[in-house]
Amino acid sequence: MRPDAFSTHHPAVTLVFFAGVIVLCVLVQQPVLQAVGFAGGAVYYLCLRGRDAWRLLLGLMAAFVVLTAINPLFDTLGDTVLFAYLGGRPYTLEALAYGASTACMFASVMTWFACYARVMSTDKFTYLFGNRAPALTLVLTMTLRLVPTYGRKARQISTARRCAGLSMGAGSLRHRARDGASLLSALTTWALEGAVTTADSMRSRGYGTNAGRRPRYARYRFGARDGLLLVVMLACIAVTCTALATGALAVTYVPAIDVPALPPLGVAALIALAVLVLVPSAIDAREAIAWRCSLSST
Amino acid sequence: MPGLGERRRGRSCPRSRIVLTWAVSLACAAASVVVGAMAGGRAYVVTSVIVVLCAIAPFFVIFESRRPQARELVMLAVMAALAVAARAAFIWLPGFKPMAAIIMIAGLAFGPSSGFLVGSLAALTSNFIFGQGPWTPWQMLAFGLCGLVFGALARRGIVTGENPGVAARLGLAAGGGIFVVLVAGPVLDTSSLFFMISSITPESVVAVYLAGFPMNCMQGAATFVTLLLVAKPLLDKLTRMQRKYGMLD
Repeated sequence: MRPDAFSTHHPAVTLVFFAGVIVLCVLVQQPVLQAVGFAGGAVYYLCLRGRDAWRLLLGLMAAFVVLTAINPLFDTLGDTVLFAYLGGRPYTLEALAYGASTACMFASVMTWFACYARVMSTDKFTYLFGNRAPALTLVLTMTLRLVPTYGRKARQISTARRCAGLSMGAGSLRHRARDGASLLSALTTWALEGAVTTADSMRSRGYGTNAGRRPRYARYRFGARDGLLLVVMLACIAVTCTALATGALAVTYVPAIDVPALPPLGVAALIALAVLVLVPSAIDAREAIAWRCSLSST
Repeated sequence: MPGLGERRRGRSCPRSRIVLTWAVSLACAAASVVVGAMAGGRAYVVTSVIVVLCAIAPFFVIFESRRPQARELVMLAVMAALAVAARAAFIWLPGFKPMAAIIMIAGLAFGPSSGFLVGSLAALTSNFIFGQGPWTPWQMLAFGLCGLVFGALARRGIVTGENPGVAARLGLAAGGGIFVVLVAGPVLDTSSLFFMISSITPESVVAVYLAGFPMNCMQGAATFVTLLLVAKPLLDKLTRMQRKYGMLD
């Protein structure tokens, strides 16, 4: 699959983008802006995953329907009663609408987190925090490396035990749990011995000595395009936040639905949010066009 | 035999600094509650995440400012990775998750704050593998609490002795299972309450925790079985490592 162009930007830009978008998606209650927030995430996820994206998106649409439909069961406030059940408990339109708003927030947050998982790889995460929290980042890096190693070792141990004629994964639940425990015990012994070797090796290579700051591998450079993108994003976030803080995006769902027409600042926030959420997709699209043109000109 | 230099662990964090870190984090949490309440709307969802992060952050800040030695770093990484990878050992029991049990054992062996770090790092790592989401901070808190509480119990000499009898081992396993069902599981369910439910009413709160209850019971049972089977051997191994190499006491 074609690499995603937005991913090539500096990790700090990526982190600011996702943090901003996810927080805004939670805070905004204006239906049009909520829809824009979700649509932006869905478009970008489609850019990232292609046809595979539909599995998540369809699942989220189902979750949207369920979460919308259950809210009136918990919340009986609202003037317009659609029907009553259980001897007169009202099921109201207003609670349904507010349920839809929360369900949309949930769907947007999930979509943007799915994009985040694709874009913000572990090396970017450790790059960002490596300077501020070197010890913790090192622990995280080691943990991330050890998990697959232990998985492989567990399979080796289980093969070895099977060759030695010990049952693995057969028989009653009790038996299987016991097999698992013996495997885990063997794995732990091996892992702990390895830990001491690793730590001694680190020490003999000078970890933790006071020989000045340790340099780190810096793969990313904060270039002019990152600065430009960051300024645009922060401006968009600022406009939307101003509109939120001044009540330009205020809506009420209960007890009566009141969605006033957007004032000028609200319209500005709508445009700003739309620009913000479409930034990654737009960068991808521009890159795709440039690629096509370069192909046809040769 | 390790050199004498290795016995010098990283500097311990001065008490005043620990108090200051917690005070700052408490102030941040309080400020975010006030701002969230003034902002209204759905700002309380963001507030809830900030409060959870404020509960986690001090452990990380204090650990980092201690400048820990290589052995301590590696042991934390190994225990967190074991907690995540232990699932591979129980591959024949689908849905069986021993993670909480391993974190509790790490807490018993290493003490409360290292236990918390193992738990929250294990949760963070498993989310790197299975996908981050709005639940990540809650998971870090829930699993961190497993290590913290069992570390504190061990510190007070409540759970482990040199040679625990059958009753003590059963008690530990039952305690672990109950802790998952009553504390760690509900902490996790709270993220669904904030992110999926529109109106927080008594009915919706009951519904969310009841919906999570069967799952929590399964997790609790897995924790009970794992603790019963591996707590003794694993603790013996960890104690032996600590004696042999003199670390993390």
